[in-house]
Amino acid sequence: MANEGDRFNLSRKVFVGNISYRVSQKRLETFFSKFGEVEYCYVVKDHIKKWSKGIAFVTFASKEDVQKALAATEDDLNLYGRTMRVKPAEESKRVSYVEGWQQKTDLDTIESLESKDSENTDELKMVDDTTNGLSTIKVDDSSTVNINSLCDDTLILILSHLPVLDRLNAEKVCQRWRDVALRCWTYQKSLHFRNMFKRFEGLRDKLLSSLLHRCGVYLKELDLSASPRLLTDIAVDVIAENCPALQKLDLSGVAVTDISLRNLGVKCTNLKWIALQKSFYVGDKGLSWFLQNCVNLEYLDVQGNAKIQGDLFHKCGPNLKTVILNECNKLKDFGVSKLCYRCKNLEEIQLSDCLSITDKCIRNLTQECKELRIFHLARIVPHVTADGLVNLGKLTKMEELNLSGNTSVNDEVLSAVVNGCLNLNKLDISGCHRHVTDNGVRQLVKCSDLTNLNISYLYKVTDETIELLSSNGKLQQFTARACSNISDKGVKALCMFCCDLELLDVSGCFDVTRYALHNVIQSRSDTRKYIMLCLGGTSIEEEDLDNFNYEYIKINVHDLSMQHLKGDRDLILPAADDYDDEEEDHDGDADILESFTGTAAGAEFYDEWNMYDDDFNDDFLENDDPLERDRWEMS
Amino acid sequence: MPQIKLQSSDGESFEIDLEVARQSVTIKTMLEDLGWDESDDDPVPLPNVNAAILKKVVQWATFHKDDPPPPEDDENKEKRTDDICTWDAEFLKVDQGTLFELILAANYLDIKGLLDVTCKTVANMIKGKSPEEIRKTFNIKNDFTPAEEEQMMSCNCSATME
Repeated sequence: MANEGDRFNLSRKVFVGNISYRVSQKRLETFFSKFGEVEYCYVVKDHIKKWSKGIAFVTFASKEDVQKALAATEDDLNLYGRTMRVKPAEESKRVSYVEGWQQKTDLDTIESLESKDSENTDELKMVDDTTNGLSTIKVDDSSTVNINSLCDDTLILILSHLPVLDRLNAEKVCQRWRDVALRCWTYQKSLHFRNMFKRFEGLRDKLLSSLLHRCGVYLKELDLSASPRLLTDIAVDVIAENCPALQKLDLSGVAVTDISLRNLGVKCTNLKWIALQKSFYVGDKGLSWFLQNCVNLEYLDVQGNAKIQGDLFHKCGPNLKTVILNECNKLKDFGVSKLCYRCKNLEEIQLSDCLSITDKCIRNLTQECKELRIFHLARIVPHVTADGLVNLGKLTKMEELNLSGNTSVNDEVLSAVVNGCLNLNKLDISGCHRHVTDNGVRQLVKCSDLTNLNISYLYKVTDETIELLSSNGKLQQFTARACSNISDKGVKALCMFCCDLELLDVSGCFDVTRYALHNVIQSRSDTRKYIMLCLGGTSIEEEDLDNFNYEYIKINVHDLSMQHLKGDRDLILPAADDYDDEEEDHDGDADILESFTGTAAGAEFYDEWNMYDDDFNDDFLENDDPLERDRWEMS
Repeated sequence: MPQIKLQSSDGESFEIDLEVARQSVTIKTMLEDLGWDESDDDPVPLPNVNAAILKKVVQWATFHKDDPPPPEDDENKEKRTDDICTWDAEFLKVDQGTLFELILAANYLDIKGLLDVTCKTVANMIKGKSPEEIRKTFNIKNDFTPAEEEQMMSCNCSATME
């Protein structure tokens, strides 16, 4: 025994219990070196969760130091407010068949084993009853194994699979569960509330407060956007109080006020990412206080804010990269200018539906922010004209440009963009049919990196232009809804030249027939890459697709084009009335749905349809508003 | 296929494929440390697992022997409990005692896949239940003092759950 013991340096080793979970191996080594030189220090960790089990083995260089450590008083052994226990290390019987086993073994398993077969008397006695959190459970008989026979770590593993609300309930089961459940929160790095509440229920301040009391310190990400409507201003204060380490915070829809936003900025200075969509009570003042404190902010989203004019942007930190200002009706030119002067490294800005900005703002932006990669100026920006938009060509690093539904876009603007923005790979000019002609679109061939193109409703675009565009061979997503001049010929060219095409949406292009489908099949049988086809509203009948079964091709049979957005609607249906059209359209969709949901295949289509419906709402619902329709009718 | 003998706590021996046995990190390390080779005929003693449970574990490991290794724990990843495969769900339709013994065995033998799926099963048993229901389900004694109970009631934060 003595010889064997020396093999593991048992005479120079001590067992240490009741160590604070925060203590690292290094810290412990330094601590014990006050008794003498420490040769090795091993903090026992859970093999799955990798957290400390609160016990350790310390090997000293000499046997005398061991005695010193064993003789130490309680005060000498105090670390982080806990008095550690030091005992001589004893050898486990099991060590004899697996070397180093005692370092891996699960303590509670040994404990339960001990009580099972009591002849194993020289087990390593290392579990300390008072070791906090490592309560020991005696198993009298294997037939009475119940949930509390499991060791703490296993119980934590079980509880960590529970949604946060169930974990709160688990706390109230018994003392042990409360301790274990509370320890679970340590590993909560992010918190969101998606799919957590039933209808008519939601997150309230009180619940949020008790959750953040438990895990706020550890949180890096918090997302309240899934259930904001029952929260009040107090919730923001609770976050400020409890979550100092927060980096990403989504408060979209929460009734944030200027004051609470300021408090948040003061306490959560590590924030890098914040979303404040639809925060109607926040104005320039609150936001400027906030920005003043959160200098590390990289992402700011205040979409749908009806108050800010932009006076705050001189407080922006230099790290700001992304600013989402869609639907900020009051945002003024001087605001955007301030932003430009302050954040020269801005990479993304979205100004869709900003009713008050003018050409001057675009000019400033293009002059100052040369690093801009993503720019959105979609839908209704009434005071921005083509004269302002031609400046976009100065942004040489531009990669993504969204001008959908912007009626000021004309051929000249497109020409400036293609000649200036040589890195452009995503372009959305859907619904710009008023001033964009076939010739304008034809110029896009110069953007050799273009992978993502949306030219929906540009009814003047011809097959020849599509052929030209596809000759670059880079397109991956191509959307051309309701382009009545595009036919099989264009689709054929796309299939032939663009091998990477993943999405081809030609819904509403009546001249596309089943020959186009053959071309797709042919091209895909070689490349074996997946492609999604949207073929609703074309001349391809559903019968043509009855026996359609190709592994690499998915088909959506619903017409995703909107009747009232079609530029050439008056040319085809001169007497059509807006309202009737939509009614009819809607009924048609419902019928299709009904006929499809019955079958398994139908369910799949239904999902796809839904998916596209969402996508499509995002893009175009705003166009559906009465203002736009009036303008339409006047034209 | 090389075989290996495992001996349960009650002395019963099981002969199983080496590949199946190696899903247990404990057994794997043991064999590596001992320099086990095929000629070895001594059974590997597993003093923490009885024959009935070992049989179940072997059954599970045999079915899952071709599974890809489980992904590393990602703290940011959402934990799910609804991704238990049908075979496992059927396999784990056992009484509570057996289920917990399986967890103990999986923990002892260090079989991450089995530990995960058994823990998920237990988590599903807890989900959506009130504290009283949980106590009833698992036969747990309420050891809170009346004062503590009162305190918990006063800051009853999960009102939405009840």
